[in-house]
Amino acid sequence: MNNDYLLQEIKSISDDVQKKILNAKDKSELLDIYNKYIASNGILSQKKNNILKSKSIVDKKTAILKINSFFDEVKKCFEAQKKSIINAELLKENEDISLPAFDLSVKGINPIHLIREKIIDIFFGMGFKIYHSNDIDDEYYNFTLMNIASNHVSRDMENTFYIDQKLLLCTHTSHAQGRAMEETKGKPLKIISPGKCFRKDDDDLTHSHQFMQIEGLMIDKNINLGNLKAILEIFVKKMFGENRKMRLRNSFFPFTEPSIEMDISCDNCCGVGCYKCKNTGYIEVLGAGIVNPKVLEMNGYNSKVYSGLAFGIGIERIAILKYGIDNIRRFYTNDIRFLKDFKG
Amino acid sequence: MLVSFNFLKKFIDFKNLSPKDLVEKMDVFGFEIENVTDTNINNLVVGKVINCNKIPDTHLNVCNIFLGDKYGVKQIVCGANNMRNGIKVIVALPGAKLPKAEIQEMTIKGHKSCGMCCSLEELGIDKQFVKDKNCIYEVDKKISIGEENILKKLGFADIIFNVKLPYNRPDLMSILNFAEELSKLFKKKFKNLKIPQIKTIINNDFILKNTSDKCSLIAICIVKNVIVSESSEEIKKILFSFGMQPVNNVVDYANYVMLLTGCPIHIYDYDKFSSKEIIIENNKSNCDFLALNNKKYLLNNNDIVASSNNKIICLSGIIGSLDYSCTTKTKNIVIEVGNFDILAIRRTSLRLNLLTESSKRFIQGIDNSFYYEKAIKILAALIKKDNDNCLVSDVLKIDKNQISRKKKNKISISVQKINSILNTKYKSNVIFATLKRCFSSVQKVKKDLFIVYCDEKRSDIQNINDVAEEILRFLGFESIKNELPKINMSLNNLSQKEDNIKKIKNHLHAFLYEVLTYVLVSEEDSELFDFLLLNEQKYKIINPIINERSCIRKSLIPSLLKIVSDNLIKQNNNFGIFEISNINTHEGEKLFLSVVLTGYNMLRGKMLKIPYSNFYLKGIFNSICDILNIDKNKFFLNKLNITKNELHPGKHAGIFLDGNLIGYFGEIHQDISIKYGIKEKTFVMELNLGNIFSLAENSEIKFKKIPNSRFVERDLCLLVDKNMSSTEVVNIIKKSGGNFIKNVEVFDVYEGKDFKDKKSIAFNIIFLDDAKTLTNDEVNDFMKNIIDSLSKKNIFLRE
Ligand SMILES: [Zn+2]
Repeated sequence: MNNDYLLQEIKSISDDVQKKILNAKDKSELLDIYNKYIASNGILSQKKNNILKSKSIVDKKTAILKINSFFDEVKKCFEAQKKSIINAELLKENEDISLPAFDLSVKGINPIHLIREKIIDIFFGMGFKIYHSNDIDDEYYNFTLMNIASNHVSRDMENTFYIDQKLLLCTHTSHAQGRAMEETKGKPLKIISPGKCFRKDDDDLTHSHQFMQIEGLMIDKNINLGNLKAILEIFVKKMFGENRKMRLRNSFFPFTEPSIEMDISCDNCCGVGCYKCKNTGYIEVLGAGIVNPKVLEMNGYNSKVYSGLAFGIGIERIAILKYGIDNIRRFYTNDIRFLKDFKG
Repeated sequence: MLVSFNFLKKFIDFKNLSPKDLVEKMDVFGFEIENVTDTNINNLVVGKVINCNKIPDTHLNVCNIFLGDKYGVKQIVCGANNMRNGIKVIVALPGAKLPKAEIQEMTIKGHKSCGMCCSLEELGIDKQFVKDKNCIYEVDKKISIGEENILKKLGFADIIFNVKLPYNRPDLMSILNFAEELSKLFKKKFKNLKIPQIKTIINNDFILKNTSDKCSLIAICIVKNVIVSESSEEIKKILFSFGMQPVNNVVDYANYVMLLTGCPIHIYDYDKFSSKEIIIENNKSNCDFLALNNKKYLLNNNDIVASSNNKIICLSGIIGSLDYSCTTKTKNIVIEVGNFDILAIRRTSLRLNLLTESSKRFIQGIDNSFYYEKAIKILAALIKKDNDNCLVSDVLKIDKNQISRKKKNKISISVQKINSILNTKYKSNVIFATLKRCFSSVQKVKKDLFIVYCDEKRSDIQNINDVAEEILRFLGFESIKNELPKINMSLNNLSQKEDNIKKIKNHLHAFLYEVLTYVLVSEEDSELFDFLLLNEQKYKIINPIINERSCIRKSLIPSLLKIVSDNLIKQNNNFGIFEISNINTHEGEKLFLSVVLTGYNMLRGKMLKIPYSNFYLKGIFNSICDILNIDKNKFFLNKLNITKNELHPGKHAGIFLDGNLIGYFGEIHQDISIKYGIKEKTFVMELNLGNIFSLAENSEIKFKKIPNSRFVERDLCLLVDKNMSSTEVVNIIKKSGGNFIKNVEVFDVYEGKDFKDKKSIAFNIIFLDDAKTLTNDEVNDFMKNIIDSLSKKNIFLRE
């Protein structure tokens, strides 16, 4: 027999098988073809074996290479068809990815907590330690040590919640200044003190009988107004962004001298003046100042050696400015839809 | 404090400084401007009526009015009685914003009307200045046609600043002082009022006594032959611009002088006194007092009063009595000034809800003892100007602080110290020049050392820092160099407690909302859910605003339940919230974490939701232990004694540590559901974090070896008494099953009728020997032991 003839036969069979494979519609049809032709006892394999055994083949080596290449083609075709059939079947299991996901979202945080953390982070980064501020304290710490006169209006029963003759709900976080100075015993200190404050205001859109402040106090040698300005500027840029301008104004607090108030440029009009900033171009942010030497002396510091700076930040105010919240009531209503928008 | 720009201009020459500049600068100088009111109106023109024709069957006229060359002739429909040919009127053109309307072009009864002829009232001018109500204002012939600044010409255009003065500057409640201060700050010339010299002709025949410790000064002066009449328009305009109502010339002058000097003055009718005495006292209890404003007040012995012949003639510092007041019939008067305790005036004023111009000034803290003689002189001179036949007496006074006041405060100022407070580099001559602007008396000791003598009215200046503040006000903030402090470095880290709180919060944010609630609650709420502070006496506020906020809470749960109920009303369902807050106790603050869950845990929206349960709360508790690296087996769960129906008696647990209750969780009792109007199933948990943190202090993570051997597992399905907890069974299994039990886990609980008082619990037990894999026979032996032990406790395999 002629080599060419044998090879021709195998080629035509393998072409035929490839056609069949490509026409196979499902897995079982494909499996039938495999068993009939490709498997070790299939037609193609038998033909191959016949040639291998045959003595009449002249150039066996070339023939085997040829046959193997036919075989490979068939196998490749088979694998490709197998894949496409499987994929076609998997595709039938197509799922609707638009269906709801598992709810792994982070839940909302009351913005007061969020701002509190942001402020703490900023001052913590500048080396301020956190000093705890109590809700309740002695009027001595809340007023007297802060140089608030005994006839000052804030001491009245009309303005402050009292528990007894001495104890009250703190009207500001400044009482923590006295506590911290007492503890530090005339040594340098650097604290921020977040806490709840209480004033006898009726709750409405702009007032709340309870609110949150963060007090800051730094006492060391040569602390000056330039230091305060630099620290506050870092705070403003970190909290409101690099583009916000700050402005200082003269003010008065019994425990600081000089006392200043800090404004930031209005985000609504960029300083031109609008309803939001009452046409001033600026919005009031916080009060601060150089610690009144009288306060230092009262709290056990030698005011000839040490000086200090202090500031008080209203957290609600910062939240209102930063997020554009319309009124202070939102913070204490805790509507879930409101909280949803504020995330760490 | 209201300040009229027109009035201010009488004392300062502002030159080219506009009111807008003024406002901007004042803000920076520390005078907060709360608002600015401009009473001027644009688009007003004076015109002459050139013809005027009645519209038949109406009271209206169609008029042609000549408004000068700029506007020409306009047709206007007008209904005023006095509209006629030839008069000059004020026309508001379209666009003019009158207090009650904005003028527009319109058609009335078919006639076009291009504006409105105005009455003074329509221009926002007080009734006091309006003669005929239904008449339009007839402009004086001297004023020319086309005049657009008519309100200014008439003296009604003014700008009113509402200034918030700093608390330490009561001296500025006097326009003279305020103007002087502004003149210094703006470097403008101050035109001081000349204090007139008055000849005292008559004798002061009164007797003055002061028995009150709350009155430091009282002084009186008598003026005879006064003529009481209506004030001049000028005085009336000034009082109006400061928000005060004119009464008669004498009273108006007294108020005017108060505006000028800050010193409240009271006027009595001399002839009403049956005996010529005035006693200042504060020992009248339960007295009725009929005040000038025609209202009756009940006074007590905290109120400072002036009395005469046992009758109260004045509630000192606040308001006088009607009986002794100065009326049109008054011929002779007594002028009284006094200085009274801030606190006493404030308390009386607040108690009676009676805030007058006088009491406002005392509350702000004015000390008029420096100006009272000046004030009396100015007033007497004004009254005398109206009638030259007036006779003025000498001033009778009791002045307790006359001596102590004489000393002027003296502060030495070193240039170096000022610069070190402000972080500036001001030269000596700059500081000296500024000090001279601020203080009336400055002495140069050396090149870099000055002495400042404070004005007696500036009680706020006490030390060098106060002076530094003044310099700051005058020189501004520009020269202050920004510079971070140069201080020693030190370690800065969060306290263990802050760190723990942060960890827990970060964890809980993944599935709960963090809320913020009020510390003050109602008395009723303060007694609910107080399991963790049962023996704690509650803090009550002695002066609450409302009962709803009268006690300090002992638990966060009532506040959180309120939030749940508020949200349910707003259709926000299915959520969990938490709050970490300090709770105030008599032993200091305690740190609580509270969680409330309501409805379903929406795992995949509405497609997959699981009702919240106590086991979710238990999971939260376990996870917190996990975060803090605390062995949760240190805690025991047990039922509580529920006396106030806060929790479901069968579905709750107290969390105990060493026998002490440190937390609890449970489903809320239906009584609570009703009280708060919560229809969804709701679960609460409260933990005393302080107790839990104390365990966290010594816990550190240690590496544990991972075994190479394989575990063997067995399932065990048991019939157990209904009341028995799974933990009890687990404990028996662990005890009897040998040391190789690694874990026992419940995987099924079934309570069916077939089991009567029993239930079926299925356990999965894991055996593991770290050294080698256990054989089946070995494990069978362990299981046999377990089953034997269980049967001794009446627990048998389920068939
Ligand atoms: Zn703006």
